[in-house]
Amino acid sequence: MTTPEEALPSRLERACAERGLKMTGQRRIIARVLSEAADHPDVEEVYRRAAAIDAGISLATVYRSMRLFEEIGIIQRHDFGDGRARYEEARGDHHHHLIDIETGEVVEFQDPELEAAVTRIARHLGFDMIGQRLEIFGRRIQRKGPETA
Amino acid sequence: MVADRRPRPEGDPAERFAACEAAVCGCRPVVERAYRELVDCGRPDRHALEAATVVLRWHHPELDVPQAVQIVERWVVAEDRLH
Repeated sequence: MTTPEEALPSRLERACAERGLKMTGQRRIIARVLSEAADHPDVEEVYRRAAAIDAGISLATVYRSMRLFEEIGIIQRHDFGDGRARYEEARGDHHHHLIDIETGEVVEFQDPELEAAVTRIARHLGFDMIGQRLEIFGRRIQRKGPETA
Repeated sequence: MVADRRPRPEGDPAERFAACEAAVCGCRPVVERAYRELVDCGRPDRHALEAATVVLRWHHPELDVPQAVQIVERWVVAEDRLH
């Protein structure tokens, strides 16, 4: 079994290293938990996930580490109105991705109409949208050259 | 009309799996690129892995999901170790 020290550094670990933050074993685990989160966990949820990897991690350590990560700008705090601060990796603007299935190229895009549409769909289903994920897989359309005589 | 490069699901499954593992069909750099670029865009590792698996399975529809995930994981871990 791979220990956290042996595993490849997660994106957040690399971001911490780039900012000169010393990475202890427990901080590394917390960074990994956040990096692998596909949702917006609150501190207690991060603690639960981290403690499942290393039972020696305390809630106080998680609080301290996450405050540090937030201070150096590698995680973002969200308030979804439920009274609990939730976190995700800081990724800048919200983009979607189109993946060229033949080359592996990834094209980032933003579309306000799409954002409006999914917000409307969630609202229609009785929900406030708090997140979404869209990946388009496509093949580039081959354009016909000029007709030759 | 663009030729469909996807191999047909015929022949010995073990041989097809081995050929894909050995990357003789040329899909490996495509899969690795999709994974790497998604990670660079800030997608969580798990999402990038899932998307790269979709790419691999488009090229190799004969692979089932666990097989494809296994191959992609091995490729991207190997690629990470090079950088």
